[in-house]
Amino acid sequence: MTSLSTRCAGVRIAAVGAAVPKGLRAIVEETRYFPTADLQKISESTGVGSRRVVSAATCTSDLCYHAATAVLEKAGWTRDSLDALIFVSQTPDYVLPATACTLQSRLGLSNCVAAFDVNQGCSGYVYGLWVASALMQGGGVDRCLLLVGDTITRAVSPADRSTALLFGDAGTATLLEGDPAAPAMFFQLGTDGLGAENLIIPAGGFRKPMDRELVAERARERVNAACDADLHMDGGEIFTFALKRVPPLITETLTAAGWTADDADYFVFHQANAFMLRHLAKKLKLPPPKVPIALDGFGNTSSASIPLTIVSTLAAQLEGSRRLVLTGFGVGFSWASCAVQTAGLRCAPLVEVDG
Amino acid sequence: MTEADFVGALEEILEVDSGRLKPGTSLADLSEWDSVAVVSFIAVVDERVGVTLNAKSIQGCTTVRDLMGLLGEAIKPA
Repeated sequence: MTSLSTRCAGVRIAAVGAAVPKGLRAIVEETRYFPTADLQKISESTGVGSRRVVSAATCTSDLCYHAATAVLEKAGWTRDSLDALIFVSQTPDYVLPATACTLQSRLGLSNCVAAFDVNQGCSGYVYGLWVASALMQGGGVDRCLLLVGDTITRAVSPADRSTALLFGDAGTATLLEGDPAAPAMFFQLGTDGLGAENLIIPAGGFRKPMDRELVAERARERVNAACDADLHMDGGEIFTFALKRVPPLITETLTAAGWTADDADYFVFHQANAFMLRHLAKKLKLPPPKVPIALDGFGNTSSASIPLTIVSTLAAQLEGSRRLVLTGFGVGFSWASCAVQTAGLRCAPLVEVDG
Repeated sequence: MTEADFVGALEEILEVDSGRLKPGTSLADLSEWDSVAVVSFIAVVDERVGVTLNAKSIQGCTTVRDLMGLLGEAIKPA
């Protein structure tokens, strides 16, 4: 066993929605820092032809707010029927208070609501499903709003070849409700903190606080460099990590659920980059139609990528009962996978947000 | 995998003409040996040799021969 294995029963995923900024940026147009030949090569490898980018005035919470509004309407749920709100992000509005608290009032939810933030990225959606379901099993929480998203483009140096052209922004909302008839969800979760340095924003927390010098460095034009206030990513190390951890993770998830790979309808992976996903799918012998790749037009949206992929590529495919394997892996290093049999899962139409 | 297979696979990854690479070729001289190439190399080795190389050990290599050396006995002489 490579991970913690657990399960949650009596919880159904009712609906999923997503919101992205209107701002669409094409990779081949990013010639300010990079030569065209490089842009084309990177774009082909990552599978990102264009991605959605927020302005400096927009936060993850804003995107999640719009996704929540859309999904509540799609499901026909009233705001005061919600018992809990969980916000999963690594780009929150504030260090404190929890962004979930501010969203409670913005969305007009009751005060009798438990609301808190969860700090995870690539594994964040599956972590969110697990935390929400586990809490719901305890009783008292019949309906939960799970908001998951990130605005990573705001954390990246525009001159850093390894990060500037990959990410996109998105916010998503998932509605969970108690349902004794719902099949159990099976979760595998694991962590390796030795990989922490490979995907990190070194400054801005309390280990290395922001200071005047860093602010000035960030504002300066720089070539092929990032300062400690920017996201650092070692693509090679992360690829090695994924090759090592993801195949056994998928195998263990299927075994826990009692499924073969053939039994599963879709394998929705965190959309890290197309090259990596195709390689993993090939290695696991998964037929390409079962492995949606939705990087083009969106980019790598960190925690939002799994639900965004569901909304953007599977909305018409989820009528009736479907067996999904959802797998997130990356920053931390953290990984989490879930086998879930959905029933009549509805998707709200994708929302495009100004700003 | 033979030495010739390895060099050929590397030429394919870097999209350079067949015969351009020799075991003694310095990686620093190859503009095509960038982060995308490194990831492709890890993938090809994983697929064809069943070995998962880590990025650090690749960074320590200066020549094509060094890269071959990472695979040890999996590479047979031409």
